[in-house]
Amino acid sequence: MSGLIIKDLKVGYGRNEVIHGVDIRVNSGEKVALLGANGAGKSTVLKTISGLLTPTEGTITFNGDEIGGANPAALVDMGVIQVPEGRRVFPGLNVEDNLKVANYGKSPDLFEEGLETVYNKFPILQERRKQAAGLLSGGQQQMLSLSRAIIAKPKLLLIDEMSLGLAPLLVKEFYEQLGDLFSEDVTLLLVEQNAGLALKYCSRFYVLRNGELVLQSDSSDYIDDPTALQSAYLGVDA
Amino acid sequence: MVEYIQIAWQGLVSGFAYALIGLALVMVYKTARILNFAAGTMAGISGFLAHWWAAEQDMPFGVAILFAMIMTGAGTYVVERLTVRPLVKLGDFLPIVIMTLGVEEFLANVSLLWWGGTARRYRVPGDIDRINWLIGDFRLNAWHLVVAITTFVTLSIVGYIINQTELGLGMKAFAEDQDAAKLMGIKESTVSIWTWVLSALVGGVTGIVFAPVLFLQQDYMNIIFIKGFVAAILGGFLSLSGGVAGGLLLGELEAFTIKWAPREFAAALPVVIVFIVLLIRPHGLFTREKGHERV
Ligand SMILES: Nc1ncnc2c1ncn2[C@@H]1O[C@H](COP(=O)(O)OP(=O)(O)OP(=O)(O)O)[C@@H](O)[C@H]1O
Ligand SMILES: [Mg+2]
Repeated sequence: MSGLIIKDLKVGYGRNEVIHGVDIRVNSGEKVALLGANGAGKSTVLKTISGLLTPTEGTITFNGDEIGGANPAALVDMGVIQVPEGRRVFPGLNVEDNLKVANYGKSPDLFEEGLETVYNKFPILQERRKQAAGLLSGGQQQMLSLSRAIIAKPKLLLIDEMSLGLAPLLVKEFYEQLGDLFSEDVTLLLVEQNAGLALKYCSRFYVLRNGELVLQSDSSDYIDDPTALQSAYLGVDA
Repeated sequence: MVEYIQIAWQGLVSGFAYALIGLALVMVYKTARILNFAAGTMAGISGFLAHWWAAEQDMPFGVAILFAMIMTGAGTYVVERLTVRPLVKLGDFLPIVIMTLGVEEFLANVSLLWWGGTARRYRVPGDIDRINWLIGDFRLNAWHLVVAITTFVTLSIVGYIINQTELGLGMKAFAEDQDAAKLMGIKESTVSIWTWVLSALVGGVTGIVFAPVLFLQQDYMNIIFIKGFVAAILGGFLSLSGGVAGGLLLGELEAFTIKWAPREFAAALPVVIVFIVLLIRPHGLFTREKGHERV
């Protein structure tokens, strides 16, 4: 039972249920995309896996352990790491402190190691390491957000809409770099609106609409014509 | 000239009290988004405990203070776990603030029962609070010097904790973005409780060091609390250094108002200041609009 297994997940905000029973499976080391239009509930699913929200029903297991409703900090210890939507760097902290936060509660030696890796991959972050993260460009903030995840050494990585607000060319670069940033055996669940990019990187995908899964498939079936997914997103027949 | 220096020094000494309480309030508000209305009363109890252990239990002055601080820290730890924590889980702002008012009321009554309504003098070794040195025409009270040094040391320690320790980093991260901080593995309950304890210790120091200046009475820290609140508002309530600066500024304004205007007016000054500041700069004098001031 290794990898991420979500069964009949229901979750929402207050009394307002947003996810109405969703099953998702990401095998150990697999790269899977979760697609869908604005408001479909993609971020809600990720936030539930990472512990920010508590499921009202259903189970979430990772490598056999039940993690639904666990404390986010405990999940981080288990290697469940989320790169949140909108990057969410700490704007008033400088770049290095942002990275240090990602090493919270762990040994400083480990941090030095991680820091070196990160600065190697993104030299601009080293150049700006004493600058407030809020002053970085959007792309640099995304680098920083990804770098925090690198430092956190994920086993299960949840990336929420890396493309948000970034130039298409830059986004493409990030996707091309992904394989290089994280180890091969990281289990990945990637949220995207831009299906074309996600399909290139992930072997399988799910499409979410109004809190329900409407399609799941191998990427290879759609990779030549990602626009065909449009109908699944929007619920219209193409 | 000396007269003005004298007034400025007087303002600074009162300002230290406002600054410390302002700091204690901002700390909790900034990291946990909670207004602690019990801060003043809690600080007063620290003062009473130090007095009680020294004067009534015959403990050495320093040991009594140490005990009082330990009690303050431990008591706050328990209060946070029992009253604040269960409400934080519900995720609403108002119930927690009302709870701190309840804690305030409770503590105020406990201290009234224990110590009664009479004012007492908090005695310090050698009665140095009654020693005044004359430097030219400038009069320096020995205890005021102790107050200044204590404030400086307290601010330095807090500054060190905020800027150099992992707890401080967690507090800052939490203040900036709670969800992002949680996703980095920072435990909300850990950061929250140590923020409360640190804040209460700063308040405790204030309650103790100002006890000889103010006399111990059941509600002797209330006025300092109100002015600390004003200090925090002046500083925009989201900046620790702003809260401190606001306190010092308020102390000076008060001291010079007393010089030039009737005493009664000086008492109303905090309210007037809050009114004007909120009109002109709703986000405080020292915070930029978005509130992303550094800690
Ligand atoms: N904090 C919140 N409180 C209440 N409702 C929320 C909250 N966040 C999201 N929602 C609601 O939940 C639904 C799903 O939102 P979610 O953010 O999961 O969508 P999404 O698929 O990530 O969309 P996007 O692509 O725009 O990021 C939406 O109807 C939204 O209004
Ligand atoms: Mg989203």
